Amino acid sequence: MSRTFRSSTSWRQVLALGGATAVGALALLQTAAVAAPLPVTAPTIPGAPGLFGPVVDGGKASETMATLKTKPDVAPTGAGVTISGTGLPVSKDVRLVWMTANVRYILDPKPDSLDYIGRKVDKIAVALANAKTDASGAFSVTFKVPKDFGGLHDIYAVVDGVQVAKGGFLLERTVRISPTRGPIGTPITVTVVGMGSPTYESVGSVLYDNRYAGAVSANTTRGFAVFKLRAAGGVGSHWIEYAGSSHTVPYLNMQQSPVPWTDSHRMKFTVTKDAGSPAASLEWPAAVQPTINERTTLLSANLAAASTASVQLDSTAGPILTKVNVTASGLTPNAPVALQWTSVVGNRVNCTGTCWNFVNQPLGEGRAGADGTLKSAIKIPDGLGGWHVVQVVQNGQVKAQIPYFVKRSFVSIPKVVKAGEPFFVELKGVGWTQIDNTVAVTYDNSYIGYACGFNSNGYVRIQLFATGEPGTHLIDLYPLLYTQQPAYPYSQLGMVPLLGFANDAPGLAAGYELPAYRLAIQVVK
Amino acid sequence: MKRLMLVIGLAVAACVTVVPSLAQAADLPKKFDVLLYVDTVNGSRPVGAKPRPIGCTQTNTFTRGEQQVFRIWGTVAGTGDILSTENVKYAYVTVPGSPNLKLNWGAHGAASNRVWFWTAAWILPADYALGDVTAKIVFKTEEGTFGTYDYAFTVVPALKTASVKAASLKKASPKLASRG
Repeated sequence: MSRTFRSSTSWRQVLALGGATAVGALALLQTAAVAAPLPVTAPTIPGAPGLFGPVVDGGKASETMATLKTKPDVAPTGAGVTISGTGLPVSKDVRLVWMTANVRYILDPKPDSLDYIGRKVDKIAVALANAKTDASGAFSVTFKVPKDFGGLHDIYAVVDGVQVAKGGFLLERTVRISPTRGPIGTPITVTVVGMGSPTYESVGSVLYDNRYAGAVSANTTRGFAVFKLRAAGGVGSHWIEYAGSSHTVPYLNMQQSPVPWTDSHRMKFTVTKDAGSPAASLEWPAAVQPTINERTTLLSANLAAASTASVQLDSTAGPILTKVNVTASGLTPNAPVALQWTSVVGNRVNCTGTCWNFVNQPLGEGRAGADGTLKSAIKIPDGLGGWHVVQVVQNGQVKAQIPYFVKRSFVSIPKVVKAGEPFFVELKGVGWTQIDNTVAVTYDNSYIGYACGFNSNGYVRIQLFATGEPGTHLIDLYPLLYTQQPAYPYSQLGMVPLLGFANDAPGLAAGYELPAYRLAIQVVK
Repeated sequence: MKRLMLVIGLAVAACVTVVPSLAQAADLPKKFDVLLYVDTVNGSRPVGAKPRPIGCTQTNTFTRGEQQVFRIWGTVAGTGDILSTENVKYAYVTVPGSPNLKLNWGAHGAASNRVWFWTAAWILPADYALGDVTAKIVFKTEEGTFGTYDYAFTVVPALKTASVKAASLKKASPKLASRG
């Protein structure tokens, strides 16, 4: 037997209850098991290549290392290559190993936040090919350049566990756009193959007509990046530059750096006409299976000991105000039940000490049936986005709980704005962690700043000014990694538009589905 | 010059006693007989590669066809004596895939500021393997003690790069010069 819950609660009640529960929740935090920062296994990204071969022992360097000939030794993925060696031990099996890396993001999942720490690069040797030396100690073998990170790769000929000879290969970076012409707002897909794994080869900076649009990475996709820009500007030629970078912005004299192969790729796009504003849309990241279980506001410490209750939701992600059906079982029969929402309140601005607190929000109350079950419907609160928890409470104890992800949603943007006049873009469901508390804003593919949703409880109202010639102008909002408050040393990709958010982003491993907003206005005189 | 050599010697001692202790602690002997300082510069006589705008600058990144010059300063640990032809039996550099490069003791620099050190130069072959390379520097003293050092450098391909036309550079030159 089940009972229906009341789910209406005034905001005054919410605040009062939130304040009352904050202290208790904070106390619980101190005893909760908190994971340390850790490199997280990347989720499987559809279309991204996996490791092309088995990881093997790369062998031990010999005192007298010979060199291998590799032809060609600079080529893109898929090219045919011949590698040969002479003067090696005769009639021996040779394993050719390709030196590369696995790259993982480092996250610090905590009940009250998810911090982005950076990357971890683990160098590995991968079996590339096998050969056998002839009676003169020579061998030759051909292979196709694997789908792997770009840049320099050492190749070793390993005989009986010893690196007897060394070769090298530069996997070239290629960048292409499609289409190459179209009206304002045309989605331009940029495909990059051969991003590198070392720090100074792992970030791409995008310029559109010499204006900074954002950064791209391919850490968990073995150097493959696919992302979208939109055609902006007047009718005529526009230049998209995919520049080398170390952290966020272009490294403009990369030719003088030790990694000159990451230098800019420049592509022309022709805007054919202004066909008016494209419809507002959200572009979502790849649907992936998260690889870590930690969720913000999910605490095991406040669960009732020996509770065997369980709770299910008929959806685990959605925007604010989504109606969600709740089913619970194993509750104390015929006893009152409260459903509550866990969240936080605070901000990161000038943060020293405790800057936000846990809060609970009632979602409804009722009574369990005689069989200890209940069925109810709740409405996801209009508040912070990201991971929250629905808790089932009886007699002051949490009997069961289940995470729910609040997706970002779009509220409004005006269609027409006079040049020089202000206008507002409104969003809801923006979160509070370093993964999801902020959106980065571009105007005609030029990064102009960011907007945060933490202090405003998920509601973001961005004031912009209409500039440029009369006609269509594009506003794009991208996910951003908030690398401040706290700031960690040497983290890349922070505080700028994460253009490659759809396929390579730290939050994907933790279940953060963060979209880009594709918006536009008409500027008039 | 003696003062300079003393300074170099101290720098050498600091370098080789500190750096290896961080990077190769597991392989270190307990005592050094010979202390070495090693670097490389781009030589001014490349074969098959464009000369760099400035020659003889320190670098550990080379393209095929460039001239790589190893430079070594050393001292005998027990006495502090500078390694020279007076106390070194032989010295060479081993680069994978290449015959050993004999190190020569000589004076370098302008006549008014000559500095003595060991050098060995070679041209990276046009088909030399790309990537990270470890060169081994070996010294044997007349007393029979050894000093070795593993020096890493990187071979990168020469890539086509965008260039500014010479004409625009010429126009800019007088302005740049007048700033001085």
